[in-house]
Amino acid sequence: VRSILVLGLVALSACSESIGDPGSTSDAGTTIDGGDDSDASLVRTVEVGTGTDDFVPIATDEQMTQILGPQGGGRYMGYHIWSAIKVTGFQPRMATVRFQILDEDRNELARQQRTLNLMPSMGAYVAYGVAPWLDDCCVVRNRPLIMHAEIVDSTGATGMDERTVLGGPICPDSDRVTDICP
Amino acid sequence: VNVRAESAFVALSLFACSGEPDGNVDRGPPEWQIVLEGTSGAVLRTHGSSANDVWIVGADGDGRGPLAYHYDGTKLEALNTGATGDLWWVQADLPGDSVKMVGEAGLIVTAQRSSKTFSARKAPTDATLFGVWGSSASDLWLVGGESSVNTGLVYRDDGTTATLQSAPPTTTSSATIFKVQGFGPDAVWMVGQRGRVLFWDGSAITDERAPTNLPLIAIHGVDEAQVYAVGGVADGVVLRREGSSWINETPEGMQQMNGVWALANGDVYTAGFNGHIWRKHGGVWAEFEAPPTFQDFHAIWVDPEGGIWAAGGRLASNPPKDGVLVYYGPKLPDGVRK
Repeated sequence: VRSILVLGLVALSACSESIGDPGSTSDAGTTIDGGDDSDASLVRTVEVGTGTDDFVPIATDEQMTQILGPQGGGRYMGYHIWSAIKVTGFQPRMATVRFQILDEDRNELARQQRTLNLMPSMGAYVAYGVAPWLDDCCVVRNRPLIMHAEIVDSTGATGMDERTVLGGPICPDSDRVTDICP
Repeated sequence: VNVRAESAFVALSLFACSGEPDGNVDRGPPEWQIVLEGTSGAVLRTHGSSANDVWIVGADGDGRGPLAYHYDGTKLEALNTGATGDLWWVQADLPGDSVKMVGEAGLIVTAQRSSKTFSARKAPTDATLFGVWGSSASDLWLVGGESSVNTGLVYRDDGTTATLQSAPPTTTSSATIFKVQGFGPDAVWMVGQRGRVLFWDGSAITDERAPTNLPLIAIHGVDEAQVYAVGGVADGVVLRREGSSWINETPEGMQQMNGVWALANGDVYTAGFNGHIWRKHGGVWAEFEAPPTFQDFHAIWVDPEGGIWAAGGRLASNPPKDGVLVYYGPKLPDGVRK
């Protein structure tokens, strides 16, 4: 069973790193570090994505959408960009995942961290529907952003991935058409 | 382990002082129990006049009306308010028979406690009303926000008509007002976006300076000398009012908190993101025994018998969904406890 799983994981991994190469960084921005009970037969991968009800991959330079949440606040803290993570080779229970949205100079524009049980999804494990609140939605419009995700599992194994994307063109009002920004 | 043992002890003490709500039935030691889970709309607030008069409201997850339940100490009853849209808050300890609820698009629902009948009306706004508090059913404060123009909204409501308080600072920009709590008709606090704290002294609303620029999402206290406000973004913030100023006493590592409840014995509970609950006990903040959920909490209420009710769900979804309601206390009746 494990062989089949590993084969599936290898096939799925878009940016995988062997755990025998701890701390390495791929061109896609993925970094992996082995945990206390590293299993060399596993391939650990991390992929940052988006999605509210499932993991949705994102492409480099893809334009994202700022979502007006129900929490109020409008321009300030009222918007988020749905964030998600897909991993293989990590312990799914009680994993801590951390999402950040950064500007080109790596200044933090939004952040959220959660400890949760990752959900199985086609040979990988995923978490989705995480909503880092943007401090000021208007500053991210049409701006290059870095979507960053990292994981620490219950064994201490870590990994991260990030993508450069583009902020959505507007901070939409509840009608989803009108930009609220001055 | 020490925190857990201490929590259990204090909770047991509270229940020992409160008598036996089920008569002579031993309901066992306090423990976390799931009351609601996976409801289409998030559970946004639980409040009551007693441990046997508990009102539960939440989001309209499927467009068929907001989540609404009543617990009478023996059974959990689903309620049909006849309204549509999310209900964000309920005040159920008003004098008399009225229970007040507010929510999406200016929705105001009045329930009659005795008959479980409902009437709905609308404040003159399409903005969400996030909070309600009143000293009586004819002296209510309603607060909320208009996202499109980044303003907070404050209404006074006499039970029939909601009137916008248009004098500054209530309409100052960039400040959704999330919650309101008072200690009589002449002492009312409101908190909101970007550290906004407003105070009504019976003649005017003033803008109190809070030592944070983070959103303040909830406020509660037992009297004017013991008021707490909590909030944050990702990381939490806890403010305590001391004298005429606010003190930041946020403990290290606290996550964003969305609900707070203070007790007369000095204990304070706050609940927030990712299923985290913290308690101030003996003057020290520490994380409380972990509840059985990773969902975000929006509100916490400690009933008069010491039972802790924490309500939440996936709060960033629109409408908020996947509701959860957990209870910490002696075993709830079968059929109420999942």
